[in-house]
Amino acid sequence: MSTQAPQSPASRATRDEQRHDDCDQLLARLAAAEQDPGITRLCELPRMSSQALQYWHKAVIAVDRYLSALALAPRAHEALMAEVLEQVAAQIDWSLPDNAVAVAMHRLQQRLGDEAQRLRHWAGETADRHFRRGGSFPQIHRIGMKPAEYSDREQAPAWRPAGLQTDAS
Amino acid sequence: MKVAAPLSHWKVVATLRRLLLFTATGAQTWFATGYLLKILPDHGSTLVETLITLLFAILFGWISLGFWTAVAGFFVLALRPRNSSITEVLRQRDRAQIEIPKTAIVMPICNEDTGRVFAGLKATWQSLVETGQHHHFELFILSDSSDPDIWVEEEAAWANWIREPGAPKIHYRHRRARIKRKTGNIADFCRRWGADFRYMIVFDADSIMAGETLLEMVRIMESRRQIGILQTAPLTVNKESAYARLQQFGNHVFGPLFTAGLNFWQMGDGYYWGHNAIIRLRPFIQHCGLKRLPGHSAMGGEILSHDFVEAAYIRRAGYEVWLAWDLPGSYEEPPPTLLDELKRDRRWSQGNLQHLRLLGQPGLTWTHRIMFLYGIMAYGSSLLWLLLLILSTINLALHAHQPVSFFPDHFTLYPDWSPAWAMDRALTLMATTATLLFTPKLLGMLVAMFRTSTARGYGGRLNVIVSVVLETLLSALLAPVRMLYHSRYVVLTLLGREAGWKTQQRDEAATPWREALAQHGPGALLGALWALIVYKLDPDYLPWILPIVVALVTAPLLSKLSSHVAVGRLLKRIGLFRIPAETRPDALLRALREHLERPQKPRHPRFGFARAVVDPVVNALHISLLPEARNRPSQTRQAIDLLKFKALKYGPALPPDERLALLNDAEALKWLHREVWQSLHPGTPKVWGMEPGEPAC
Repeated sequence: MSTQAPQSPASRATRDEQRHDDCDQLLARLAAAEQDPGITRLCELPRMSSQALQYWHKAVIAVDRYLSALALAPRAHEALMAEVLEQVAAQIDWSLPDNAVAVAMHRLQQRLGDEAQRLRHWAGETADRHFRRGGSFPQIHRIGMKPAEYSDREQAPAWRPAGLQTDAS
Repeated sequence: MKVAAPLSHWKVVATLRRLLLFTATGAQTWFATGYLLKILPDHGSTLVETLITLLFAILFGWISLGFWTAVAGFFVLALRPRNSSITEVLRQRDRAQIEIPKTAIVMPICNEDTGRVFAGLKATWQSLVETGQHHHFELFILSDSSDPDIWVEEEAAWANWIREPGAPKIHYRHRRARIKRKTGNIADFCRRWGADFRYMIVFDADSIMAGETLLEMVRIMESRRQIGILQTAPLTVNKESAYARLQQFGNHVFGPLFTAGLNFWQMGDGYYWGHNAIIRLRPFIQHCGLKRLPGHSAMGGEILSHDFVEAAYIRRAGYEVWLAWDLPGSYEEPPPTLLDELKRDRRWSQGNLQHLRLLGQPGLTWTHRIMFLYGIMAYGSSLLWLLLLILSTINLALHAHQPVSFFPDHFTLYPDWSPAWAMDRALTLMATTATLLFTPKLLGMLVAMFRTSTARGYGGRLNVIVSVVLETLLSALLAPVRMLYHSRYVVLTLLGREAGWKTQQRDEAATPWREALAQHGPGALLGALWALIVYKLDPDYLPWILPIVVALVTAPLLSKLSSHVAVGRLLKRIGLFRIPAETRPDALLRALREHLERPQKPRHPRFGFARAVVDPVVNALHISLLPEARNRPSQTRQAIDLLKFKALKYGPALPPDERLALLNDAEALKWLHREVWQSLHPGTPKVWGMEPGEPAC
């Protein structure tokens, strides 16, 4: 079933123009994908309706945004984007394109892994350990700190750390 | 010849100084009270006059103690005698030979401005790095924040800092259950990581300290093993409202006088003010755990002003508490407005009054008992002053309706003038009281003026004089306003009404007219009514109370105007209330300014909770920092499930408790994150602020 509504020749011309603009924008965002016939072909497919293209555009933007938040190196960013989009492009039923964003994001989130892996992508291996519970703190040496009794009268000897110089020394 | 170590006989010296101070205070009070008895029409023979005399004696003693403390401070600042500062212990030491042990810098925070918190810590760390000794220090941000947005922002700011090259060892811990507030927060740190460090340096959310100051503190502690707590005297800086500038100026000019004076007689029995101080961890853990006070009223429960008590306890255990008043590079910020200060005072007054219950504890030093009283009097004196004014008015009323007879029934050669108020003597007593109140200001001014380098920092000697005169006038106007508020706080606390614990306001929003009138209006009416009554009773008495009446009546205007940053900037432009910290800021303050003014890159369209749901990094970070998932009761699970759908549909504008519930549930956050990004419903990205063309994260 086509999702494209019948339109006048004039509006169709505008639509085609729009489609090409979108494709240019899309390809500009996907510098790496320019070499990728799988993605480039999407814009050239005759069955790619304007509506489908819009959904596709949204999906690309969403993937791009998500990856931007992870602050990856540009090459890694582009490679991941190309990989995910290619899989998504192959997976989507283009006669029902409205789930393009959902499919793309699902695929991307699967590819990135769980929260810890997502953090690792962002932070790098070195900083990553700080963000895991247990890794974010020095090791705990639990000791007691009991409330002082109000009736206590203590004259404890001053604590003398080993090897510490005193003012008398 | 063997030279005695510095401060080796401080207890003897301190005893002599205290004897001197309290003798001077006592003698002055005795003479002044005797003089008052001559002024009163019945010479203290009636009940009302006996009470007036008693209240006067207490209050006069209180200001006399302040006067002599300031005089002692002036003496110390001018002559720098031996035994005047704990920093003397480093005089004969080679600093390079003192090894710096592992030290934790801890900052307990609760719903504070995240940007300011991290700017302060970064400036401090930068300064520490410049010393080359930063590897001995670790930072702990101990968050008790209950505001869901602030919690998330803290995590994000912490994580971003860690990613920066050369980031410190900085640890962030969020407590879900805020047991025992700040004391519990610090105790939690002590229990978990206290054993790993020899010292902890406690910061407040607005504290900043220079790296060299931190090192000096550690060196002093290392040089004198008897010290349990070493407190610095932080200078207030960085605020721009007129009120804050007034406080900052007062703190810079008169603060050193009082801190030097306090240290003069307290010595090793000093104060701990809760921040900008270094603590020897082991004895602190062993001896300074605080118990709840019995009872549930305001005078019971958790000890709000814990710092004084901790100082008293560590001293009881044999360790010294010193005020390093002459260590520079220690700063904090004043409350921006009069009302903000008064709100904070509500908590402090309750905390100090709780100390009434600790006065009789065995083992405490007498100096610390006196210091408890000192803290109590900081607020209690207001109530006593108010009572004095009420009793004086009653006495006036009694005599206004009583015919004065100068010729008694028995035979005398001369008339008996005693039944009348001795106005000439009253003037003398008033002048004496004014001298006690204003001499510290004069002494502070002299110190500021005649230290050439310091005077330049204030904008020159003329500026110092004009600013001190204005500060004195404004302080005189503010005193009756504080008196009314503090009296109310003391009465409420004694009646058992709790203050609650609200985060201190630190941003500089001007007080709205409505709030100024609502807060100070009743006081203004009371002042006007009092003036009317006194005028009806005896018009000659009116000039005596006029300064207080004028202060109360003008309080709404003063409170409103002084809260404005624009007024503060105007004062700065004309050279008033300038402080060296702003005219010639040190590297630390410059770094703080840079961090505060650094533009946020890029500006996030979302904040807090919304970021934890939408932003892939913040979401992952928050989930990673949550404790291990527990099996929740099915009812709770169902409630959370309902909340998830509600959040997905309506976006982040949920009530705080609902956002907090979702933030505490890792599964819910994972689900929301996934659904927000994958939602087929066109409205979902919009309510979560993910419209096209907007940077998502």
